[in-house]
Amino acid sequence: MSLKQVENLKRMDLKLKIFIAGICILALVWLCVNSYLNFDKYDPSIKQFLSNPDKYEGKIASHKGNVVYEKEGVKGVKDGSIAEEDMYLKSGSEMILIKYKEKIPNAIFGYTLLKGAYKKSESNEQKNYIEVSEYWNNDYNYVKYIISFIALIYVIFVFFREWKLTANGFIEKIKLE
Amino acid sequence: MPDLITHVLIGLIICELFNIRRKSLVILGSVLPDLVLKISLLSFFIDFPMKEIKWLLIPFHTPVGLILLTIIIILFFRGEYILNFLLISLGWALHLAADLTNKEVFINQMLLLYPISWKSYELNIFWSNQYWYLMIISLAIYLLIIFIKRILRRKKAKYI
Repeated sequence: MSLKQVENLKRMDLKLKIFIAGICILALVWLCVNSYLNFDKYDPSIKQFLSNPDKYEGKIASHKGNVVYEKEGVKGVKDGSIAEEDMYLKSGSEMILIKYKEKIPNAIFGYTLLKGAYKKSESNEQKNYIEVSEYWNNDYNYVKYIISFIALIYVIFVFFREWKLTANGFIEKIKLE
Repeated sequence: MPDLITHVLIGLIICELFNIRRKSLVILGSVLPDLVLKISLLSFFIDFPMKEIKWLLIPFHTPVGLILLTIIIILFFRGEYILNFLLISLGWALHLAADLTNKEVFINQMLLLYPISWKSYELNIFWSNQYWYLMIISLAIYLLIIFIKRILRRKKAKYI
């Protein structure tokens, strides 16, 4: 079938559409699962390190999160095993002690990116930490997400200005006029 | 990586330069790579393992994943599948090109050759919060194009 013939297909058979969509969804699922299962190709996560410190000790990884100084909610605080001046990185649901030559300031309306090596503490399992080699505070980065939301609304607006949803799929409004 | 306004502006610049009529498809493509992947950012507000979610969703920010996603999207349109596919693909190709300016955020962010290779391609120019450099540049270019086109149209109308 030539390209012109394909273009001339005004209405692709519904069964064929479902078949093509099914194959694409399966392929996408495979890509996602393949990416997830090959996690060793990415930086090891905090969760992986904390569950198996021996395996990941010394491995360098990048992280995104917020630096916190609060003791509240950190395991081991109550028994006094964690000092008040310690810094932690809160990344998603994970929290880990971090060490750097100086105090890392909190990012303002944003998050901190840091790179460092996982280190195991011999004395206290809860003191396994990341030795930070470099960091960058993405200050005011959340503004980006707010203005991105505006862009998303604009895209939806422009799309529905040009296209109309019918039982046969999206049709250009110019063609309907 | 640039914000979505910048990605949309880059798409609009190309539409204006090449007189592409279906702008909506190009700008839809230009926001497509971030739509799914950015779910991982919810981890700033909800407690869930950010990295693990990112590993799962990163194919939506790769050319192969986006080709598949584009094929699924064009099936919702009636006819002209190849043209629609090309316009949406142009949008996400521009998005990935703009994202190449990223300074390393996560290792393995721009997996352009996935699943063949896990190598991340970045030019290391802008940090994530320096998005407004690109936004100002692209906004200026877009307004300039609109302005020049308007002048040319007026001149043309005078001669007619």
